[in-house]
Amino acid sequence: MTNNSEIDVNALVDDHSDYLLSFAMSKLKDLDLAKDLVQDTLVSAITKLETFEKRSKLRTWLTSILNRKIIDHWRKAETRYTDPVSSFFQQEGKPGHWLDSKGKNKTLETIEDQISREETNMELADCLGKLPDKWKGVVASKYLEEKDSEEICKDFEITSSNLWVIIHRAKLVLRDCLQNKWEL
Amino acid sequence: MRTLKRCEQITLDYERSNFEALSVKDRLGMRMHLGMCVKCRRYMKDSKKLDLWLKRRYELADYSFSNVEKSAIKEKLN
Repeated sequence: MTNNSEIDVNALVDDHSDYLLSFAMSKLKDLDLAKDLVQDTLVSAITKLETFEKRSKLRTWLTSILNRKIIDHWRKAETRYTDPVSSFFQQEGKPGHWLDSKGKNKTLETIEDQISREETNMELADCLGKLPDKWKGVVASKYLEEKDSEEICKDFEITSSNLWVIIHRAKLVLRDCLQNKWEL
Repeated sequence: MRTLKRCEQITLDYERSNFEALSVKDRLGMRMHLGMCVKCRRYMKDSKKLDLWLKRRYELADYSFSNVEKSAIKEKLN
C-alpha cells in the first residue's frame, strides 16, 4: 500500500482531467455541466484520497466517482418529472396511436445511405436531449458503459421491468424525433 | 385497440429479449404476431438501427480543459 497523500495534485489534473471531461461529455453533452462535475470529482477525490486503495487504477477510481456524480445529477433531475413512463401513452386526442410513427412506410435504415455518420450522430444527440434526464442516464449506461441490467437497475433504483419500459419508450421518442427531422 | 395493446406488449417483449431470454410461450406469441404485423416488424428494424447508432454516438470523443482552466483547478485543489 502506498502513501496516498503523496499523490501529486498537479499531476492528477494533468494526467486525468481531460479523460474525465471526455467521459462526462460522452454522457452529458453539456460542456459547462461536464466541467463542473469533473471539478467536483477531483475535489472529492482529493478529500477522499485516504480511502483510495491501489486495487484499482487511479483513473478507474476517479471515473467511478465521476460516474456517481453524473447518476446523482440525473436522479435529481428526474424529480422534475412526474411519471414520464406511463404518461407516454396518454397523449390527448390520439389514444392508442403510439406505434403509428411518422414514417408510415420507411424505416430508419432507408435514410442511412443519404446521410453521413457525423450527421446521424448530431441529430441523434439532439434527439437524446429531448429525453427526460433519467432516461438519458439509463440509455448512456446501456450503450456507453454496456452495463448489465442488474447494475443499471441498482444505479437508478428501478425495477428490471421499468428498465425495459424506459428503453422501449426512449427508442420510440428517438425514432419519432429522427423521422421528424428527416421527414421519413 | 386490442391489436395496438398487443403491439405494445410485443415490442416491449422485444426490448426485454435484449436483456433476458423470453419464455417459449412469449417467443411463439411474438413470432406469430410479427408474421402479420408490419408495424411491429418496422419497430424491430428501427430498434436495431437505433442500437447501432446509439453505440456509435457514445464512443468517446476528445475534450480537454484549457491551460487556464487547469491552473484554476490546481489552485482550487492545492
